[in-house]
Amino acid sequence: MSIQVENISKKFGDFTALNNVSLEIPEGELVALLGPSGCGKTSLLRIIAGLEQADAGRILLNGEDQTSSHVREREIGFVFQHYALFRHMTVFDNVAFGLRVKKRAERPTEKVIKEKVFDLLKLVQLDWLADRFPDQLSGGQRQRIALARALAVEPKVLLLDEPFGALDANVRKELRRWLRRLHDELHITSIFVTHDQEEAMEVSSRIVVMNKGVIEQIGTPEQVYEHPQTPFVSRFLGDVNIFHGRVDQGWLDLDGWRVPAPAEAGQREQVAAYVRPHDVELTLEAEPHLPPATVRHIHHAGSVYKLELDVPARGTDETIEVEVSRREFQALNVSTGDTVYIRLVNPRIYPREDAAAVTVVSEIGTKSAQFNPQIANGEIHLAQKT
Amino acid sequence: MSTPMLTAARPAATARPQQEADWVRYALTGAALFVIALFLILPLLTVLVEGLRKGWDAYFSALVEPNTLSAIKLTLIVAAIAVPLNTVFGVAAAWTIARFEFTGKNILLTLIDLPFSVSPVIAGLVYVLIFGAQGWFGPWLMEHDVKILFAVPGLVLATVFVTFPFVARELIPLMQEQGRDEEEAALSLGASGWQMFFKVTLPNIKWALLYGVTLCNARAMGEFGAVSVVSGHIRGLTNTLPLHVEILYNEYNFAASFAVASLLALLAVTTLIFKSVLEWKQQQDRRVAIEESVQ
Repeated sequence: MSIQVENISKKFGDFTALNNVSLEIPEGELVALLGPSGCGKTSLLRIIAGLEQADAGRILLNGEDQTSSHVREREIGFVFQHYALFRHMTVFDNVAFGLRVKKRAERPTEKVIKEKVFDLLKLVQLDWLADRFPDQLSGGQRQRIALARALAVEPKVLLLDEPFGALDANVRKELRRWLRRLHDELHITSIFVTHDQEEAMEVSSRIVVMNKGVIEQIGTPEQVYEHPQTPFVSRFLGDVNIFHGRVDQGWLDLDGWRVPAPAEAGQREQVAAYVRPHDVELTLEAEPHLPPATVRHIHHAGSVYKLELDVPARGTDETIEVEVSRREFQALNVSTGDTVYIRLVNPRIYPREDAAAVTVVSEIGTKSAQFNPQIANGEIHLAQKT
Repeated sequence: MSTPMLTAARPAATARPQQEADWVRYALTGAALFVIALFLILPLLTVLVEGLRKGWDAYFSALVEPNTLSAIKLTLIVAAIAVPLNTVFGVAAAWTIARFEFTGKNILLTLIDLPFSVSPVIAGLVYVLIFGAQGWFGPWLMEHDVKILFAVPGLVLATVFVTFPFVARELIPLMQEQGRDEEEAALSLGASGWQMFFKVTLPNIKWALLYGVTLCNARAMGEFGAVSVVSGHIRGLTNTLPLHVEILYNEYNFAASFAVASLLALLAVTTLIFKSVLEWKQQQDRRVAIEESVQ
């Protein structure tokens, strides 16, 4: 069943949770609503489910306007962050609930219910737990039971609200893959809410990045990561180094340090350049326009090495972060205190006004260097933003 | 290896710097027990002993005396109306408060507590002012021959007022803790409102609800002040058990008075036992709820 969200707005008191949001999800997709807490993603999911009413806008399921229909009429399956299993019922009764509350005419016989419940429990590989109560299960088991319970009524849409948010890192990873496989098997249109970009990239076929009640970008995991359309998407999906400067005749001028600018950057005065840590190339040989940097710190982060670099000419304490593969690192063979030259690859250029909101960076936990241009003696200096 | 280490640790363990000497503990426990015996158990025993002073025959004949029987009947009727009413009110109020955000929620919470903070006598007087001969609706009621004061409706009203908070107060914290998730899950699975209530909400709150109902019932049967004001003390007609005890006592009919009082005492003891069982059950439920919300 396809889902259409048309101009949905929702306010809680003075707080705008959703501001004129529109979204279309074709049948059979597995879509992630990704964003920081308070961005409106859970509200949007609950409005699609009918657990919350929008102040304005329409929800269309399979082309039919369902804006004012009750949650029980929308044929959705909802999975809650904290499982919401019925604590006084066994696992079997939990999964059977949706079948047993059907109207008498539609209700299957107990025998059919039993078969169906055991089929579902086998699907989630937990048929041996049928007689247990929810408090006797682990978190991962509970969430799988919750999913089986939601699937029992054969919903046309599956909505998952931070389904792995309350689980351990290991269980979370396992369940992600499992959900992906389950979706490949069932092809049921699914939306899941998450604040974890890695989770969204791994599980979903499309990602809807949200911030402050609006959609920032919709695209495949690759699109939103490789071609972020807004500074926010750049920052939220992965770490980023931020440089301020200007674009001039095909060059990105960062105060005497010039980098070839992407063609679409045009001719703009004040810009912010966003560069991912793995898009900074290091070389040991001096070249024109490549500024020298000092290696301040080296982290060994498993498959990659993370380097913190000082760019001394800037006269700032703020370091930039660079990621290099093991092999590259071994070839470079640098250690703390060495000098390297840095080349920015694939910088994302945004108008300076957008980048004014960069203070958000610390809130969402990405590390970045921020430079503010200051004019002194007729020259632009990039100084650390305080 | 481990044995010497254990012995070395022993002196520190026996010193127990946090704990008082044994005699302090015994003295405090003893004092508490003494106070309980003096002020709680002794009066209870007195009721029984005084009631039985003239022997079992006199005790039972005091209980089956027509006015006593009528008092028992009236008390049961009043409780049978007031308790279910307050159960429904209580569940509805608790559900509204725990599940919804609305303006005036805090005012509603405060109003639920009002009967606890107002003296029962005042509560009774309020009804006299509203329904009495000189009250707001008195003349109209007299014209239409409707009796509220000095009749069963008045007794029920006063009792409902006084016992209003018990059920709601018991349910609100529990329902707030349990949250809306399970109910929303039930609805998303296609349950109707009533199915949700009877299959999910009610089983989750049943022990707290029974506990509230038990306390409400005990208070409904034992209420004196508010009921005394609106009753009119018409023997055999508007006297509940507590009022009947007072009348017998004032007539120097001590044995009968204590015999009837022993019934109320029995009700109290039964309630306490029932209450402890429910409390224990409820704690178990709540522990599970907390464990679930933590995980």
